[in-house]
Amino acid sequence: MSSRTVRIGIGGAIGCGKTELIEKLVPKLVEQGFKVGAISNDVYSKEDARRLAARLGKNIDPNLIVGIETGGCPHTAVRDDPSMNIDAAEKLEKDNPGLDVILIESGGDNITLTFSPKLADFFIYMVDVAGGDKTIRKGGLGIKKSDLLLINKIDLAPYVESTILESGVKTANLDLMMKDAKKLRGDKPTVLLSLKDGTGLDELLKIIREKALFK
Amino acid sequence: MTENEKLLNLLRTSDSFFPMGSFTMSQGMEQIINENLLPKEKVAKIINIYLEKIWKTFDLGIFYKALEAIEKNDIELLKKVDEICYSSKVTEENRSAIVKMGRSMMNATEFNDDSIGKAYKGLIKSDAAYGTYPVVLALVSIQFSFKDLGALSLLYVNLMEVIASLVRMGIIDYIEAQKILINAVTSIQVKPLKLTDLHQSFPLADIASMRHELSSSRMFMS
Repeated sequence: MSSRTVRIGIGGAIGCGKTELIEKLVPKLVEQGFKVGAISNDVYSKEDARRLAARLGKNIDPNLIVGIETGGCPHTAVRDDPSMNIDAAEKLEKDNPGLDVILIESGGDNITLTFSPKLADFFIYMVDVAGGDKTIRKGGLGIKKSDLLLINKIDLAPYVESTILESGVKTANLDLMMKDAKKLRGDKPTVLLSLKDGTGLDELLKIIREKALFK
Repeated sequence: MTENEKLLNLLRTSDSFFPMGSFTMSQGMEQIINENLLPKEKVAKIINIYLEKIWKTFDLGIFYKALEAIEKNDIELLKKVDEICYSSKVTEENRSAIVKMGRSMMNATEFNDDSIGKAYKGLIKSDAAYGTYPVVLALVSIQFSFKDLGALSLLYVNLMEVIASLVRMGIIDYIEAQKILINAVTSIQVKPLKLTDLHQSFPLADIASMRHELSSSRMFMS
């Protein structure tokens, strides 16, 4: 039985750090010996794919980065009708034998986002502390169903006012966010992350290796 | 297969939920809008030109010729029709769009063993045939026994692609979209064409598509 390249879907609101996550992950994965490709879904341009190609040019062949226009429907493109993404992933796999993993970045979306299991084998959902610490308790499929939840921009927590009534502190309450995540997600992992200073990146890589790449 | 089953399959494969990426296509309309080439009052008229100059005179002709090839079990003729369809699309992005849709439709369809559909799916998978949307739709129409009713599906899917793109770009509202669709339905009278009658000519859409290919900021694939 032939095994296909692992597809990791990355979803989250616009500006939460999805593209930056790929920029930080790819060099680490390449350093650890993995061959990586990336598909970037953009609602309105190929800007993210262009940015990735420019920033990751040293780490991977620019042909391994593909941009997809979503017709204004980011969740449709990765869930209801992922045919264009599936096509792009299959082409990447076919043109690049030995590819270990394809990172598929969804266009910026809301907390109801999920990936079609036909498209992604492992689903990462990201939220951003600056979006408010109540985000996790709102729930939503992305937060509940993802295989890995990332709470990014924790370095900004001291500058963000808490939006939870019973928070007890004035600024974004990361402990409460983690407790909310535990309540909604059970044993599935949640990582506090700062892509700016690298906090949580090693833990995130370990989880990806163990649970998505089985390495 | 009962009549109801045939009709349900026709609806299913014509629905925007059917996974072939039609929601990502605008057939050059995005560029026409971006360049302010389309006054709002001319929306219905331009859609009618798409209908008359591309979908009814070319895509539909390809569909009927493909049906003929399938009914004769002539896979070489089917490949020829597929090649004509692919090569007649002027821009790379239109060729790419029509192949992506066709291949996605093929991937979402199970064909009977020993059918020409199954054999053609193999050719497409090995890149020995293009798998353009009108040709694959003909194979699907035979598989699900709705045959030439597939012509309506082809026109409807194309209409919906362009009209939905206009709604998403905020050019028309959802009620106006329904009015355009109702009026378009009255002009959907289809007839089989000869291979020599196949042609398409809508320079505005072709030129828009050429410029769209080069645009760095866009919402749709075509």
